[in-house]
Amino acid sequence: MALQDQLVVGLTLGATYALIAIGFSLVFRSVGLLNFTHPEFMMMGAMVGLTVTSRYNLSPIFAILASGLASGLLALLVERTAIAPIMKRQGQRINQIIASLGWATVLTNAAMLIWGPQPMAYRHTFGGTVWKIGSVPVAAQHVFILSSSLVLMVALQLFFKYTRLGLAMRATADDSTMALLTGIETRHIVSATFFLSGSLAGMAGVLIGSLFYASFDLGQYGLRALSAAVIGGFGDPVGAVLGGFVLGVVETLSGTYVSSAYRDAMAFAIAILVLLVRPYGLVGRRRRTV
Amino acid sequence: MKSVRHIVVLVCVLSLLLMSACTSAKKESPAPASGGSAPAESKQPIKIGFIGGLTGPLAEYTTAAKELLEWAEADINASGGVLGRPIDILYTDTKVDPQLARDAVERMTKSDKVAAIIGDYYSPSTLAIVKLMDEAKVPLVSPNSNATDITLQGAKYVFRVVHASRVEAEAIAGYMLDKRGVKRIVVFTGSDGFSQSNATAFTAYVKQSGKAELVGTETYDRANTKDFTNLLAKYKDKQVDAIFLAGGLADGALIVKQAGDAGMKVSFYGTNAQARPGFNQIGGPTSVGTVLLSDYPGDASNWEQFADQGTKDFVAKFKAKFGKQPTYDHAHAYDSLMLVINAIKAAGSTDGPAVRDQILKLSPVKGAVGDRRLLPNGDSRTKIYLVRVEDGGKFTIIDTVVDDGK
Repeated sequence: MALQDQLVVGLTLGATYALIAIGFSLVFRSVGLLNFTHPEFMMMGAMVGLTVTSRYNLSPIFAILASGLASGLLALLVERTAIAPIMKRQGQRINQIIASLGWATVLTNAAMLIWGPQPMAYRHTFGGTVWKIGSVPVAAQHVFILSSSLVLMVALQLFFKYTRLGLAMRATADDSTMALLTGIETRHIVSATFFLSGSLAGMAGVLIGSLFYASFDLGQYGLRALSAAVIGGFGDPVGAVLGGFVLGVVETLSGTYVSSAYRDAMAFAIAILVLLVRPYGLVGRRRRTV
Repeated sequence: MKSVRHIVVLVCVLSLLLMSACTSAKKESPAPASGGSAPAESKQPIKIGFIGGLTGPLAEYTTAAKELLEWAEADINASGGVLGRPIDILYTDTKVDPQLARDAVERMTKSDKVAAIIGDYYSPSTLAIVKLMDEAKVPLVSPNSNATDITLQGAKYVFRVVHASRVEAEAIAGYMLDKRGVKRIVVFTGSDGFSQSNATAFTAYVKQSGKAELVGTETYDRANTKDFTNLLAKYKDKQVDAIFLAGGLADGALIVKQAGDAGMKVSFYGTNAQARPGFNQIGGPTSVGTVLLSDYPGDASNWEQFADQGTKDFVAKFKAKFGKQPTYDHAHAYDSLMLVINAIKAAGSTDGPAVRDQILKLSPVKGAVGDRRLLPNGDSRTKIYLVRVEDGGKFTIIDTVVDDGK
């Protein structure tokens, strides 16, 4: 396969990582938390979207909106029950991380109980059209995913820079005590951030689920995306997207030119190398929180 | 408010504990039949253990098995039980955890004193308990574990009603080479134990036969890899006839789907792992025509044409009770139980070594899965059906591989 085709494959793959990584990055940027429940919000989005399109035969737009809402509310639930109480008691960040891991397990098992353990396919949700870029088959969902991640990246950058809520989120992340003193309701900010990142994950779940399949263990795929966020630079939506693309391309190239068996090893070796040279990720900057 | 929260937390913790206790609790033995003096030892129920992932990824298979076993238990007890005693099947959820399997076996053999155990459904768990069964001298019949190594440990008390994965891999390879004249093959395999055992056996067979060329082997991480486009693209211009799917259902289906998207003209072959409706659902139109394996014909639309009489009798009985076609898991659970029941009857007791010897003597058996021959090492041989994936998640049997007596 020609090199440019390899890049197309790598970018389409990377875009799936990017979409998941963006929401993860958002919470880190605003709250300073590594939210390990994030991949499960994506998985839940995929499952809800499946039910909406298959059981109730509604259009994909409904699926995306429903999943966005469902995962957003789930994220809010997680924040209210696991994150906020710890923050209120001046608990340690590590405890919040562990709590998010606990919620991840709960969600995975809940999905398995509700939907069963078998992987399930979306039915022609996006029309099943497959275009060709070069010799690479590119499905409609690939295009959606790619464009969504780029649009989101730009939108979030603008959001953080120019909107009041965005500024409030950045202030809360930089110094929550100061932010409180300036009149920012930090508790509400945190809840809003979780809801937003959960929604993004849920919507990503529909796109990714319809591309591959929906299954209770889809979160494992999402875990990969978290490493993309790390490579790109923590806390930066641009970093998340960049990290996603880099991971996707590296994985693809190593799969073809080195060996498919070492694909993972190569991807993470590159990740380690990147972090050795740039410890805050490709575009990350040293931040005060955590 | 603080105390309310504390109460809520306490209630949550207690209910979690209660729930986990319930899922791993065994059924209480029923009280011995009344009417008379203190029940003699001979009227105590014969206990049979069942271990498998009742919750977790294998739940679908074990739930079907449990459904079958509960029916069989009631049926057998209604007709007088075994050796004049009722049977009592004790269920333990071992999830996909070999340690849970070990704990369950310890408990069942030492305190419950079961006559035999049916399970596990997860090969690593079954492998973990092989030595324990021999030490306890209690027979084990696995309805589902096909890891080749299970019967290579020299155990005397371990049996199974499925083929070793090596046998399946060789069967599909033989079909591809001899019946389909496939000449250039690519193997797609996961990096996990199950996939690797399929791939290794398949590759060895093909190389040894010299009838076809292995153009390449692609290994991937089954849990994380969902995009195979670039791996498939390597073979687009290599005139490949066939792709062998050594991995699982979901990854196999994606490989097939993405190969179709890329416009590759190739035929697909797999094992029993892909022989469920989800394969066609996820794989889409390209998956139609894939050839897989099964030792149970009942899941195919044209099963009656090929099934042994034992299968037909079983299906009729099952349909009369449940009003639906029995699945692969129902049939295998039934055969596992009947091996145990009939061996106990033949032995006239529940003595482990005696039952074990009688299990072997039962061979050949007319089972629900089909006519079965038991090998001294605990393996089974039945007919293997080549099944073709059809639209709508259905299957048709297109050929059979008969038991070659080896």
